[in-house]
Amino acid sequence: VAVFETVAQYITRARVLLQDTVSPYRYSDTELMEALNLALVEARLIRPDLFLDLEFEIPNYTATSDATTDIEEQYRVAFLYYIVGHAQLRDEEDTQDARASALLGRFTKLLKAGV
Amino acid sequence: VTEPAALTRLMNNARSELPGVTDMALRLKLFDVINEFLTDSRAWRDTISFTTNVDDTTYEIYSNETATILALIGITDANDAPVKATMPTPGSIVLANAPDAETDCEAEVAITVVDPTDADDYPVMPEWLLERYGRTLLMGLLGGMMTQIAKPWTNERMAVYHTRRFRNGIATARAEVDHAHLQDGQRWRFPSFAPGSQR
Repeated sequence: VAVFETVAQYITRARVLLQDTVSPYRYSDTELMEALNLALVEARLIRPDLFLDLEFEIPNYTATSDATTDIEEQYRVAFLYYIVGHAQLRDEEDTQDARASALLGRFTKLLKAGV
Repeated sequence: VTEPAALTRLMNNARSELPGVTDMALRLKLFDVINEFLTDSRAWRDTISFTTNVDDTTYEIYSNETATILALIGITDANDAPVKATMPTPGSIVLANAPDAETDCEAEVAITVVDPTDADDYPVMPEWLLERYGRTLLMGLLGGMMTQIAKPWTNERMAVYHTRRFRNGIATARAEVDHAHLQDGQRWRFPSFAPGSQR
């Protein structure tokens, strides 16, 4: 079984990095799911080849379900970083800004450079 | 269907040389590489039988393989005698002289891969081609992938290196095919009605 494959698994993993695992959550499921959708839009721009199987259509998830995502396994960590980084953009603290920027940058670098 | 060992080796070599690459991207490029190899080397041949009609100079032929016809290599009649003909469009044979009798002929053509691919999205091609020219195809695949823009595996310098080896491999394959894989040999042979031997 893949470490994270479904929308719900991405959100669970993101909550660990966000230290937001206890309800009521600071970041809603919908917010994190939207971040995943945005990551897919950015990935389509940077790496269209990742969408070959999908005939270059960008998936748009509308529910935090057990729906399987179509993200190539070796790039799933990059998408996780994007979700966390995007969530932290909302926070106003200076330290969070730096962390958000680093995570979003890491997403781009992993997709472009692979390391 | 089991993937041929030569194809598995080719794909595994490419995966390990191209960090971050996806199988879909590799399969897409592999089709182009095989097509270029076969188009320029004429390494894959097919023999197609057809029967001439009196006074009819034009014939449509179709490959026996899941492939498309590239070029006409030659036509022989039932006596192994060459028949003069051209192929203005692939698959359409025009005889230079109208036949005066019905004759069984064989057209040798060069063919290349065509859609549809197999169930795993690989182009359909004979296993011996993969086994014999796997290294050349790998060079083409690596060169083609490394030429792509803004990918983790982009490498302009190595793309030039691999592409050069690919083109050299095609030239070698073409020479081998032209000599019918005969060491120091020549491709022509005596027709059955003529005396003599090949060597």
